[in-house]
Amino acid sequence: MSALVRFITVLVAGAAISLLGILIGAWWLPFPVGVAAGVVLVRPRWVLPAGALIGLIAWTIPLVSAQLQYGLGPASLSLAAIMGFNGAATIPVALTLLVGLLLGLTGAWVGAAARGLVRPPLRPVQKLADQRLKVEDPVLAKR
Amino acid sequence: MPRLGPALNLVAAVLVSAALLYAAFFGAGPLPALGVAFNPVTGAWTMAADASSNGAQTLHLKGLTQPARVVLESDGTAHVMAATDHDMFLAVGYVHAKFRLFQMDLLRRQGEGRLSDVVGKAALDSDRFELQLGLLRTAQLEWSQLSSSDPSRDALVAYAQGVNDRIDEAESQHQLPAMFTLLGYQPQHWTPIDSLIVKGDMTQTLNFTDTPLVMALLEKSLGHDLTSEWFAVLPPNQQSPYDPGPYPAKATLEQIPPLPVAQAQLNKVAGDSMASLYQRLAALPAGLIATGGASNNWAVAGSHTASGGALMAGDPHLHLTLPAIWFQLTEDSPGYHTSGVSIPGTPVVLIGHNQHISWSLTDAQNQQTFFYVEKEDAAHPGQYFWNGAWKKYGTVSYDIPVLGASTDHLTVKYSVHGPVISERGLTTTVWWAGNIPSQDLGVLMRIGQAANFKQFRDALRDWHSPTHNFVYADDQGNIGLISAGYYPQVAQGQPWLPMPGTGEFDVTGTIPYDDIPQVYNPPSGVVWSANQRQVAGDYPYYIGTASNFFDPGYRANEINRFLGQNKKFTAADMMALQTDTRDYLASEIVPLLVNALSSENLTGNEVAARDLLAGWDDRMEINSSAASVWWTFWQEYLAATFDPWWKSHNVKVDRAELNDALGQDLEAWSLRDPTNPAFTLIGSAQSARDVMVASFRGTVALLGTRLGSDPAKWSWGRIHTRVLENLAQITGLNYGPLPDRGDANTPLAAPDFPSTHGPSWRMVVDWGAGTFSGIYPGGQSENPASTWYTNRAATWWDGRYAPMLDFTGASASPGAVTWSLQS
Repeated sequence: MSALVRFITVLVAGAAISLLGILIGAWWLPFPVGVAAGVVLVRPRWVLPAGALIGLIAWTIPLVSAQLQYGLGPASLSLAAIMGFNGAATIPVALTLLVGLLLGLTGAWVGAAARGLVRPPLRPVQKLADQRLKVEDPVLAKR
Repeated sequence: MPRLGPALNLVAAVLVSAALLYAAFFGAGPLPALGVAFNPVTGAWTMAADASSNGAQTLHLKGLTQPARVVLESDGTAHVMAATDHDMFLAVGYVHAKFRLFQMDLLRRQGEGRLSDVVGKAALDSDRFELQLGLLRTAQLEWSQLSSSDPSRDALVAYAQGVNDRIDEAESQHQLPAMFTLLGYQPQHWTPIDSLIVKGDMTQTLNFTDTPLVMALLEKSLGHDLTSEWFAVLPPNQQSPYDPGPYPAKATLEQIPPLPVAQAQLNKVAGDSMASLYQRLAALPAGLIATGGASNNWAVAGSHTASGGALMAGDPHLHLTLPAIWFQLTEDSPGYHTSGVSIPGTPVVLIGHNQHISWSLTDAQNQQTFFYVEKEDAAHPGQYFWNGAWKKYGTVSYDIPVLGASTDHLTVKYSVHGPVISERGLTTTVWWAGNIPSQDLGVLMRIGQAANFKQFRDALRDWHSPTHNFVYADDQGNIGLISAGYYPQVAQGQPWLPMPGTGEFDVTGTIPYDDIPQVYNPPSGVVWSANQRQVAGDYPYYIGTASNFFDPGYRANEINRFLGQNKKFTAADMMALQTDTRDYLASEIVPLLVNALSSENLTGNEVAARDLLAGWDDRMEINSSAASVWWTFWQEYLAATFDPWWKSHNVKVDRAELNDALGQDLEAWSLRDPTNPAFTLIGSAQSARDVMVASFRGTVALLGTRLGSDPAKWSWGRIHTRVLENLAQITGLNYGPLPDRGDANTPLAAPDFPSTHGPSWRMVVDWGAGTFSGIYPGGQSENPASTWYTNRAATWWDGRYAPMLDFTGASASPGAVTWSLQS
């Protein structure tokens, strides 16, 4: 399985599991799902985006759904007023999405860090060296 | 990924995650629990779903014995129809909780001294005071004294069941009001005692006063003679008592009905002790101490109306909050057919009508709070001297949970007079009629079932506290007014001051019911109350002093003037009077002022301001510049007259707090005693005229500085605004402030700047035409995302009304929806 396919698989599965959890009240689920994603994904550069997206998607979909069902304008304005940001309806929305994002992101960070402790990921420098070796050594390439 | 070693990376990830998760689950500092509060499915966003959840539906309520229905009008007015009284009260509990659960929880927490549990130390003073005062103890006693066959017991139980049905439903469906989510707690189940606590909150707001402490401080600073003259028992100005007499002879001591709690002159009050207690009470949150009432009601007999039926109007003036204190509904069951406004947390209509009678109320303002200084000595620790013997204080202890701090422990001591409220210097106890258990809820239920004045009056015999002026009108053209409640009588002494607690000055009983102020079908054909003294000077009983108990009487005088017109009144006239902005005091004083200015050399602006007053109709309208000149002048006149006395005598009571009483004096002196010695303390002034002219010049200078050089542009709306305040004190959820008409003296009451009190419900009934109209500021829902949060505010602000429909009419009204309630 290529890294991209693995990334997409983890992202879709993670977001789906998190979303199901949120729908039954387990709003915190993006964090453990993020941990799992951090463990599963090998490429370090995919880990944090995956975690962040899992949290963001899982918290965005119900919010969009609520917007489509009820309209969130008055609620958003009310929450902004409660927070002391009168009239700034985007602030509660942004805060909500930020919390979801951070839950997934930090989970993924923990997962990846734990994985790194057991099996260090490939270092970027080493990967670059391998690629150069493939290009610059025609003899080896012919073999 | 941070460039850290693997172990260090893991440690950093765990620490950052732990901080985030802590903030998400528990919050941090002022932040709520971010995950709990903001998640889109069970967090505060559910207010959007809640705001949209009022469509037609079938609901299943535990405890319902037969199907019932709730019709919601397009403006949110609720109509409950049930096959049994029990089911009706249960459904009312559900409906109240559906729309006002957070408000109900705040109200019970306030009275039970449990606010600190959810808001922290900021509420601890309020909690300690409430537990000292004893609303909770009184409610518990009231509940324990209700017999199992008492209909109000079943009403309270059924109501609590309905509230709890909604709590359970909201929790299971993640629909608890957002404020619970944001504050991070869940409401406990409702109990009948909670409803009695809510009733106690209202009693306290309307009727627990610190006036005797104020009077003690005035005696200490101004001296006995000035205090007695300026703060007399009988008002010095013109009054409009609705019950002018003749009165029955005063009952003998033996004929005075005793009160359930045995009660008690202070030769010399220790001023420092009283000052300390006064300051403590003054620092309590607004609403815990009654600060003077302002409500109107009146009725016109059928013989004086265009429709031939009786007219009735009522507008109780309270703190205007969002959500409002009122919830409008109709209650229909075999035993009840009432329509009007209820207080969320209680199961009955408080102001409204049934098929035969209508009623409304204003606060009677008589003295129901008395302070006693207990006699103690070192040889008898923990005891007080009463009726010739040393008695041990009773005690009761409470633990007050405090959010973010350790639990507070409070031990309340009490004597025969009531709870010890201060032990600084002297031990002071408070006797308060609101602490006497009384079954006022049962009274309201019987009023709801009354069909004539006799039944109405009989029901009110058991109404005790707060004392209210209950206005009455019926479908036979009859009208009446009864100021029902306790009127505590002391054996001797000056009850407007703290008194010794040794027994000789105890409360001995109350005025017999037949002797309290009341009228039925008076020859004038009109009855009215506006917190004024209800009786004339020859009434044989003490009921309170002019200072800070009764209203100065300007609203009552204006209402009396209006209703004294020789015409056939209509409902439209009643509405016009409810929104009347004519300042009666101004109508008396402005001609004097204009006359005083006639011989003065005035500047250009002073001439312009004088001319504004000379051509003014005494109405405090938004666009009136004369209104600004008048009001500012009156404040300047009060200050110029009394502030020098306050300064020279080092009076510790805020003079503005006493403006009602001092204004009555100033009014009376200006009209009838212009050389009163009170005027001589100011420079070279010798008379009211001198002080008026100086105050007028000061007024013009002040307004010029504040509003610009053109007096024509000094409109009242530029300085006078009104705001409907969010109950949780979230200013962003207020309505206003917006320019508004009226002042403290006008029937359309709008005291203070901005004004936060006023007509909390306006109702007009025309029994001849069969029309019932009402409006309150705000809306039925506490949810700020709901269209029913402020949908009535503009209608109310403009002085318009909505028809009060019955169940059938509501069902057929445009946009109405029906909830089917099943067991």
